[in-house]
Amino acid sequence: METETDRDLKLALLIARFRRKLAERHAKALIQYLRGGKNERPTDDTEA
Amino acid sequence: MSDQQMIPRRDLDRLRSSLDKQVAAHRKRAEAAEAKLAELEAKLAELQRAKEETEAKAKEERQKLAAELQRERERMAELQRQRDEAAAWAWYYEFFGPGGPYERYKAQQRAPRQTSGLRQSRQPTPKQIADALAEADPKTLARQLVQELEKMKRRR
Repeated sequence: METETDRDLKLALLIARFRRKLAERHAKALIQYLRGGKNERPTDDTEA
Repeated sequence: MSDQQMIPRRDLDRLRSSLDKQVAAHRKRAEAAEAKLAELEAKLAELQRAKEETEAKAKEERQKLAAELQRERERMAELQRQRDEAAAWAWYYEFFGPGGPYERYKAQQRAPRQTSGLRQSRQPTPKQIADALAEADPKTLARQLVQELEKMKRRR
């Protein structure tokens, strides 16, 4: 018996997880860039 | 002579027998109805329990989801703080690092002044650099760098 609130919560959680994963990927790329492993600064896709 | 005395004994017995049968049938139906009622009440109680159980589970699930969402938000906030810091460092190195605007600016300051003015005009002024910095990253580090540039300007 899933209510609208439950669906909203699940969706919000899904989005939050996705954004966190993007942010983690960006953070890792940034660190790699700072260590000199990459030539271009990685772009932040989480704000899109 | 009363009416009762007028009904023959045989008819009375038949009538009684018929009434007894009807009473027995009604009783049987009543018992069946009571049994059915008891069964339905038991079923209702069971459904009620199941409903309460489902609601309790849904509530627990909702609380779990909300807690997880909160944790995600906290992790995201921490990650964001780290990323801001890393981005600020990246930006700092890009600006002050080899071949960066700061190095070029210092080299320009050390180099003898051009007389033609043409080359001079291509070089960014401290204000242009400061404006570009403020536009590129209006956060703390950018402000600090702008202040540094202002100081450099004053020292000149």
